[in-house]
Amino acid sequence: MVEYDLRRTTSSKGSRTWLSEAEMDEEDIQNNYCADLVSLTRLEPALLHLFGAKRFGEWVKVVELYRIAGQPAEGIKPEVVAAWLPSPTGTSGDAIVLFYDEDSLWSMTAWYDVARLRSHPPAAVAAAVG
Amino acid sequence: MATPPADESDEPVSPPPPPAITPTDHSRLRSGQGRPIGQVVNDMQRAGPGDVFVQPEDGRYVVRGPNAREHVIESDGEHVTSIRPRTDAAHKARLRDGRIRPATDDEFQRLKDLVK
Repeated sequence: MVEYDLRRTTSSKGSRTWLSEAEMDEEDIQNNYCADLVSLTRLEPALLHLFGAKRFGEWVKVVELYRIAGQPAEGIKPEVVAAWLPSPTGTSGDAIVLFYDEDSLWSMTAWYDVARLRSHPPAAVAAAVG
Repeated sequence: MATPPADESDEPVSPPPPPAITPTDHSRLRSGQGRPIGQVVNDMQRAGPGDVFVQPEDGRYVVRGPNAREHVIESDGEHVTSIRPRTDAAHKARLRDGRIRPATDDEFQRLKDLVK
C-alpha cells in the first residue's frame, strides 16, 4: 500500500538543506505518487482507465486514478492532474503521460508502453488490484 | 520499361520479409512495439550496481539514470516506463521504506545481460 509521509520537514527558515537525504518535501511526495502510478503493477487498472476512458489531452485527477485502482491517496493534492498524449514519434503503442499541478507549476513526464499494458490478461490486472 | 518502386505499385506484393533486426542479446530489452526508447539502453549500459533496484511487490527492475531519470523494466526485459523526474529524495524515501531494494548481484547481472 502506497502511503507517503506528509510531514513538512523544512526548517523554520524554509531551507531544504536541513532535510535529511531520506526525507521528502511536498513536491517529492507528489513525485512519488505520480511516478508510482506508472511504475507499479497494482496501479495498472488506473492506467487502463486513463488510456481507455480518457481522450488524449483530457485531464483527470490523480486522486481519481488512485480511487479507480482501489488504492489510498490521502497524501495527494486534489489539484494534481494527469493526461496522456500520443508519442511524438508516432509509435502507436507508446504514450506520454503528463502530471501537473496548476498551483505550483510542478510537473512530471513519463514515457509509457501502452501496448504492453493492453496485452496483459485482464485477470492479471484484476489480481493486481487485489 | 522501368519497374515502379514496390511501394507505388498496385500489383499484389509478396509478404514483407521478416524484420531486419536479427535476434541478439539486445533484443531482449524491448517495448511492446519491439524497440525500447533510446535513452533506456544507454542508462542500462552505464548503470552500476548502485543504480539498479527491484520493486519487491512486482519484481520489476528500477534503473536510475542521470538527471533524476528512472526506467522501470519487467524482469523478462519488457520496458514498462521511463520517468523524469523521480527526485533523489523521492527515490531514497522508497528505498528507506522498502518499496524498492538494491538489486542482488545476480539480478544486476541479469539486467546487464538484457543490453549486453
